[in-house]
Formats: sequence, C-alpha cells, structure tokens
Amino acid sequence: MSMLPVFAYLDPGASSLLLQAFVGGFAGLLVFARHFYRVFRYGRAPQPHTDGNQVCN
Amino acid sequence: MQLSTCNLKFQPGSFRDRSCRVFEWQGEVCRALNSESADYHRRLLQMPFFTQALERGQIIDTVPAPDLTALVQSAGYAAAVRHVRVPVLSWPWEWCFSMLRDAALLQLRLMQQALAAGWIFSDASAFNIQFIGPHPVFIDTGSLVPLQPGAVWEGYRQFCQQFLYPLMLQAWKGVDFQPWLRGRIEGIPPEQFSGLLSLRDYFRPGAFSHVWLHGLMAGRGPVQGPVRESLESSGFKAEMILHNVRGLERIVQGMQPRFQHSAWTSYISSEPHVQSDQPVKMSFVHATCQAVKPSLTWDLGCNRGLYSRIAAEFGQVMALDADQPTIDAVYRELQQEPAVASSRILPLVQQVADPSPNQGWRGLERAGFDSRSRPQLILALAVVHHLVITGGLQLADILDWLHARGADVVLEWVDPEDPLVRRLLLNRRNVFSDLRQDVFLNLLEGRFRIVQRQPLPSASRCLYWLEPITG
Repeated sequence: MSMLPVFAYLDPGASSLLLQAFVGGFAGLLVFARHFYRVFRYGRAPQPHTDGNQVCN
Repeated sequence: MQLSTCNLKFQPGSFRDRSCRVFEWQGEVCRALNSESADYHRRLLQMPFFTQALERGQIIDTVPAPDLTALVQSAGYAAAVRHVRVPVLSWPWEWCFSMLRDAALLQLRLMQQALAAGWIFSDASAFNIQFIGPHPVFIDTGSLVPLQPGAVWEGYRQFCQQFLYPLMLQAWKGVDFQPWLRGRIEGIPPEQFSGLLSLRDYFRPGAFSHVWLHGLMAGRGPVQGPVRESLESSGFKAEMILHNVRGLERIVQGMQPRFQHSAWTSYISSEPHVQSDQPVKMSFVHATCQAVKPSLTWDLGCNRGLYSRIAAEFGQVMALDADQPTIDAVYRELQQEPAVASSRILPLVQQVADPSPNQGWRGLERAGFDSRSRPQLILALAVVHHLVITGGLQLADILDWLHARGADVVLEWVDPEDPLVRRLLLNRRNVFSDLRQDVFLNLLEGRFRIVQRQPLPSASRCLYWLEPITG
C-alpha cells in the first residue's frame, strides 16, 4: 500500500464497504478473510470482466 | 399541456439523488421521479412492508400524482408522487439525544423490514428523517431500491457518521454532538472519531469494529481495486447486512445520554416566585393564543414546554431551548402524552443568540433557523434578560430581531431587581444599562404596539402582548 495512485480519484468509502463483511457475522468474517486472501495472493482485489457483471475469481 | 422546466422549482436541498428530486407545486410537496425510480415507487406502493410502514406513520404518506406527469416530463422526469407536508423541517444538529437515537432506530428498523422484502436503502442520511411533532418519520422514499444479489449497504459509513458516532459522543464522552454535526454536514468521519476513544471505550459495544477498525481502515487511505465486486464474488449476502443492522440496533438501543448537570430541567418547580406567577401567565398566554389563533408558535426558552402545550391547542409549536437535557425531557414526555395537541409540538435544541445558520451547498441546502418558518406568535417568556446578560446581546437588537419575524409576541419582562436576575449578575459587572423597563418601553416605540400589559404577582415581572408595527 505504499505506492497508492492519486488519492482524490479513489473512493475512501471502500474500506467501509469492506468492513461490512467483518461485522456481518461468522459468514461475513469468511468473506472478509477471502477478500484479503485474494488481495494478498493477487496484489489487489480481483477486477471484474469487461463483458458482463461477472467478476474474476 | 406543455409546461416549461422553469415551472418546476426543486427544493435547494434535494440535488444529491439524481433519480428523484423534491419540488413544491401549488402548496404541495411532490417528488419528480426518473423512469427507474417511478418503477420502484410503483412496486413499493404494492409492497406490504412499505404500505404497513406508511400506515404506522414510519414513512411519510406518499401517493401517485398522475396529474403532474406532464409537468415533470417537461423537466426530464417520468412520473411524480405527492407527500404529506412535514409541518416544520429540522436538522440533526437541532435534535436532542433521544431524537437522534429514535431517528437512528427508525432507519435501522425500516432497513430490516426492507431487507426481508428484498429491498434496501441506498443511503442512511440523517436528513432523510424528519419529526412530525415528537415522532420521527422517514421522508426519502427515493432511497429505497431493490436489493441486488451480493450487494453491500452503501449507507453504512453514512449511518456511522451521522447517527452512530454522534450518539456515542454523547453517551460515552458526555460531549454534545450538535456542534459537531453543525460543523460538518456529512457527520463525524470514522478516522476522526476513533481518535477520541479512551482505553475504557474500547470495551464498549461496537467500539472495536464500528469505530476502531473502521477508523483504522479509513485512515490507511483508499482501498485499491473493485471492493464491491470482490465482496460479491467472495459470497457476500443480504444476511450479513441484516446481521450488521441488528447489531447496530442493539448498540443504539443500549445507549443512554450522559448529560452534564442542568439546572433548567427543574427550573419551574425549584423557584417559588416563578411558580406563583404561573397561573396568571398560563391564562395570559391562552387568551393571547385565542385572539391570535397562531398556526405556528415559537416558544423561545420553552423549558419544560408548559406554555408550548397551551399554544399547541391552536396550531403547530416549535419548543426551543438551548439546554439539551431539558429538550430531551420534553421530547420524552410529549411522546407519552395522548393529547392531540402534544403531537403538534416539535422540541428543538436551539440557542436564540446563535441560531442555526444557512448551511451546505451555496448556503441553501439546509436553511437556517430564521428563514425556515414564519411564526404568527412568539413566546419570549423570561428569556430576554438571559439574552442580554448571558448572551451579551443589546436589547434594541433583540427587539429588532423579534420585529423582523412579523409575529405577535408575548414577552415577559424581568426587572433587574428580580432575585434570579440578581443571581445572574452576582459575579458580573452590571454593564447592562439597557436592561431597564423604561428603556424597554422606549425601545418598543416604532417597533411594537402594546396590546395588553399584565403585571405578575412576583412584582418584578410583567407580561406584554406586543403587536408588530408594519409599514
């Protein structure tokens, strides 16, 4: 997280969205952990496909 | 009928949601809807959770307005609905603790009902809730949208900033939240509020996740990547929002205000000469109300709302006091009272010497106290000497301000010899040369006509019914 692009064009509320998994009970904690596992493994949250609503897994 | 866009004047505070905007048309409050929002409203008006909330008074009365379709189409909208008018608008920095807590609970309960029916509130702005008398009502029907699979609650951060943290500030720290909300229209950010936590606070419900972790994550800078999609593909479900909302409801419900000591909550009962004047004051106020028949009364320095209740027999009342514990007590009492008149009283924390200013975008988004309503009667009972001595205001300026409202005034003059004024002056240099009845009577000239004068049994006090001189 040391080389963040221009802050003003990013959504700081994203951390609040993410936190909702943490406070969403046990199943939410698993979602929270899964997100961070992916960030750790791929370096960032997965990008969505450009051809539809599906997202990368 | 083709009508031009300029016929539609949107309310200056209704601009953030592009899908629907509030406007006034022929004295009615209406909402212009784009095609998507029109479809949502059509469906909502058939949903049991929505219609039941309307019946319970949790959501503002909303009916389709097909007669306004041509009008709103001229401004690029598809349809319109009509709402019942909220008698007087108020902002969260004017509410007491119990009002903000009730507003928060209403938002959370409606959210649970909506989620169970497959709908969600797209935001959680405290401005979406208004008070009709002492009862909160949700007014922004445009923020209800169908719940998409895997969607998160976008209003969570807003709920924390505008409801949760201000309540925690009062309940945990004993610090009034009103100046904080008035100072920042978006509320208190998590990274700011988390810095206020003491070691003891970390053990309170919600402190770790909703405050500390929230502040930590927000303070570390923006999260990279499409979080929304990542959560969706990681299995995020509506049950998780519901779990969060229920948890927030438990936290909010468990919070009690920690007020500093207030001498005002027991003011009337503890001062014998104030008590002895009471019956005469009550009948004077009642007689004036009967003559003026005010549809809106401002009761400045209302204390426990004794005279507000009299004025409420004739119309709406704004019961105003700078002392939050007193307003909180009045609010809770009014909620328990079955009398119809009690439901016409809106208690607000308001400092006459420093009333709410115009705020937000262009200074028009949230109208200041002075310009928001126009009373027909103002009760200023034993309040002017406080404005002069404690507020440092000039008597002439106070009378100018009252005169500019264009309303009749019931003013209780309190002489400097009154025991309570002497107490106020005890540790002050008496520089208040204008706090004399002869000066007061001179200053009335050109501003007010004395309709009636009534000396009170305590001898150091006198009631005036004043009529503004116009032209």
